[in-house]
Amino acid sequence: MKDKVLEVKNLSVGFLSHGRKVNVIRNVSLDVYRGETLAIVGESGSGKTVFTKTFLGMLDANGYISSGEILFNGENLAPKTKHREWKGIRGKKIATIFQDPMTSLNPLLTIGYQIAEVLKLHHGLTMKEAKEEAVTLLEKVKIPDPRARLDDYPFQYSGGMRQRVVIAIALACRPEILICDEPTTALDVTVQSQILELIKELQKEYKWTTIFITHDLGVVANVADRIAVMYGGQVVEYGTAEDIFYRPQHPYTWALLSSLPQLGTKNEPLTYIKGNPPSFVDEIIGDAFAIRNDYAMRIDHVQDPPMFKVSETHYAKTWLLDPRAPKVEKPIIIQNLRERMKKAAEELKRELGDNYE
Amino acid sequence: MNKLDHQLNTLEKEVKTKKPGLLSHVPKPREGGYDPVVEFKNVQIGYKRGNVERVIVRDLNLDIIRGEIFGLVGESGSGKTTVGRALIRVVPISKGEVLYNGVRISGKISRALSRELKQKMQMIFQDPSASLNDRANVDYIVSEGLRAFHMYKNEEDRLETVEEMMRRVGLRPEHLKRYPHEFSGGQRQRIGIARSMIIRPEFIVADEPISALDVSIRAQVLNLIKEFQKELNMTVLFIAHDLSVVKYISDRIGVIYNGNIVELTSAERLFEMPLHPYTKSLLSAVPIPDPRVESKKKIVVYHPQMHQYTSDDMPALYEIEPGHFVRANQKELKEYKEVIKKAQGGKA
Amino acid sequence: MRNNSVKNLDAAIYHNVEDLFSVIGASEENIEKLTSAPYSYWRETFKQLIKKPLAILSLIVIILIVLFTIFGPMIKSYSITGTPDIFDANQSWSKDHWFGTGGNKMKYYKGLDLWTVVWVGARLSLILGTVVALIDTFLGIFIGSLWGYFRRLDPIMIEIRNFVNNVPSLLLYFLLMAFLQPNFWTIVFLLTMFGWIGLAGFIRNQIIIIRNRDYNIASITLGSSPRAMIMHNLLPYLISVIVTVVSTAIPAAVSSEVGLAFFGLSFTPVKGDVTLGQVLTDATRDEWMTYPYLLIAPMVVLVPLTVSFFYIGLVLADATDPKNHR
Repeated sequence: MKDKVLEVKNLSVGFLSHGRKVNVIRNVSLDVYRGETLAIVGESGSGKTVFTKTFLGMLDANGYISSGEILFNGENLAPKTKHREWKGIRGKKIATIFQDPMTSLNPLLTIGYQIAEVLKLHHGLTMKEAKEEAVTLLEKVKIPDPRARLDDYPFQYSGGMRQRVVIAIALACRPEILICDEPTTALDVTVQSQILELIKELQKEYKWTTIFITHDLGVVANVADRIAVMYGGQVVEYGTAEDIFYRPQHPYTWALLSSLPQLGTKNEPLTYIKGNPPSFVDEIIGDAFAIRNDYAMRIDHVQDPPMFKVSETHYAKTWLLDPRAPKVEKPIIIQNLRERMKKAAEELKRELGDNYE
Repeated sequence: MNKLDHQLNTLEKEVKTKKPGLLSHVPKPREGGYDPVVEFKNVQIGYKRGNVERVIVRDLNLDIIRGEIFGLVGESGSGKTTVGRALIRVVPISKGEVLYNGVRISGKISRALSRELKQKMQMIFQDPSASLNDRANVDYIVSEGLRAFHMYKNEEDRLETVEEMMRRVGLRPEHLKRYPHEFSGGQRQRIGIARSMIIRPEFIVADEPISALDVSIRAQVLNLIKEFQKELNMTVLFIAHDLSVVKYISDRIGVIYNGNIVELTSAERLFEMPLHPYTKSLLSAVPIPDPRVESKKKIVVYHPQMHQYTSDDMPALYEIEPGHFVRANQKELKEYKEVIKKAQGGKA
Repeated sequence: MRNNSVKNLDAAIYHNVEDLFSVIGASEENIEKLTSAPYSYWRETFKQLIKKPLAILSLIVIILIVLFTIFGPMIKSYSITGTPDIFDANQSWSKDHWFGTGGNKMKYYKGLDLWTVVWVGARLSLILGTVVALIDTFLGIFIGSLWGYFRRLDPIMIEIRNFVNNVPSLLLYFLLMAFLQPNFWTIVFLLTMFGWIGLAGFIRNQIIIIRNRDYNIASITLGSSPRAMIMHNLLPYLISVIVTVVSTAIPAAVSSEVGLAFFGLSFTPVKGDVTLGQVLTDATRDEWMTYPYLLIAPMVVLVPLTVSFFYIGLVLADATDPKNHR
């Protein structure tokens, strides 16, 4: 478990936009352990998608890695620029599932063909063999009557079904790392829970490493072993799932947790994070979260905090952990998270009656 | 029907002479204080593709009580959006009728009535990037309703009203000269709310207003809707697919599946005593932000075939206890009654 | 990233450690601030335009040509109808006659100073082209808008479009000209007869595409009048199209007139109406292979004019598209 499949060291990514250099990823270091599910959580605009795109060299044409390394099984991916340098990694060792199932599949090709295509490319199977394997894969993603489905076209499918096909395509290569970029954000909540279950089951069976990107901390509780919280192009806190949910240290993590509607009580207004994520166009001075942070201190506007160690597994990048900082209380709404959620779970069990478990 | 036409005719004349409109005549509450503002009566909504008619919503009978926030929950394709759009007359209904304050607002209606309805009923849209006119500045967008209904005395008055509304939704007057694409999704949604509220409607259809926003900013929009509802004494039809949000904001909740209401009751009761298996599957799908709990949770998947309805025992919407409706056939009805009795027995 | 702290460290110096680490909360005033410069549609369009040096060149060419059509004939003002300024025919460009003189075999411009003739011709061609383009464009938009807005017009309009597309226009022109006198407005009529239908169809499709977008539904539910919707919802969306179409319709009309002239359907030069088409046609009556300047004179104006307009139209199509802005 302690074997690292991916090591990101001091990665910085910039974009050339209208003649200006814009820094989107700012000096990020993160380790991904083999076989785990790592969730990267942050609002839209935090840089989480750009971050994972660097693992596949999929940055837009005007993006570039300005410094740092990305070690995949020891090999540095950062200097790779040409398509042929990525051959054998993209799709085969590292695969991605994207957010919008409506545009992820080619509308002009059958489902069977699209899965078989990948199998032919990466495993050298013939079309016939590939189609057989495709049936097996469709079964694995729980699409009913898979043999008949091979000749279907994507437009016949709902979002949830399409996402299952996309997962089947990703499966086809038996990748080492599966990147799921907000795979359920565009789906209804019932479908979402089914897709999450599916991803979990498949990971148990195929033992790959999952990197799960989302803006919804609620979703993450179900799937993640470790969580990294991103804001303003940096990882501001990371740790195990229990570290983050039961012992969060960074005010942004507090804010994310507090805004979950599951925690709302009827007669009080729900919490939200005021303002908007920073646009990277202007240079960020100090802590990027400072102007939206209810717990901001003067020093947050002056200097970017270093990463403080909370435990062996848990680190947070906030001045609040500095010994000189005053002791602050977490927001009330998340203070007894454990007890409240345990109670909620018991209530749920009772409500759902004998259908449950 | 004749009496209604006669009423409409006399009231239309009133409208033409700029007297208070048809819809401002609020009928007295019925016995027991029952006061619906919107009534769907045997409504069917579908559309024709060539010769085939595809039905989206069938035999809908639904009342929305004055002043409440009614949550309509269902998945994509359940018909929930269609119900909302039929109410504000963007989509025509094929059978039945829809009443507002007792006046028919579905089908062909007079231009005066249609205009009056627009001022009284507004919609908040789901997609913040598609619901604002990218080529108009925020000033124009927020003032659109004011201009259409001449709700201001002069230019100064209009600007003041608009600036006040901008502050009210948490934006700044200097944003008025800007264009929608310069704002974030959450800000755009608030601009959309501003332009609807500025004409002081009585009824709001909120069509999944937060589904396209990050979780961390959803509450800002939700709180705004709640505040405006209290301030303007509005009735809200809140359409969503996520029960956790709807639980927080709604007074009553209706669960819709495949064009039929399968359960309808107060928000508390729905979470205390969910009866229909689809409601239960919705409940189990809500993610609980606690890793230990989530890892043990099993989701309930709903399959419509599990009912095994037979032609001699078809389901309908029954009131199983006061204010609690569920779609069931006779067999299921008996089962649900047992469940309620057991729960009450346990309490006692 | 860290060097910026230097200027803020001044602020830090003035606070002691206690101050620095005291909680001050969120900065309410700054929270909703928009950091980017305000967006202006036309300014962004202009910025995109000047990025293309060829576009600037084309603009300069067009402006120059227009200036010459106004002032050119004044520089060397000779008559174009004959007396009193007839010179030796078939002279190539010279100090006196910058474009040369008309050839012997030319029907209308024998011995006339070609500089004057060509620029007066260019003037009329341009005016004609612009009028035709504007009429076609506005007809196209007006009818297209109605067509898109009122679906009941579909059956009628589709029949009209089929007719327009299948009728042999040249034969129709001959037929009409047999009955009509060739003057400015009849030529305009001829050239605008069929040109509007393409644009009308395109506009109708665009309107059908956008009418169901949320922001248009929102405007309807807000009670906006049809006029407000056309002015603020539809037209701005179509500006990109309009500007492009007008830019390319002008050279198309100028070229069509050249075609008409070749068939003898254009103006009668006897009356003093000169167009580039007629100069060209007349040149073909003479031995232009021996005297190439006869052809070069009108081409030197016609070709840059058409190419520049087309190119500007192309560049404007991209520049006016908001998707290409910032």
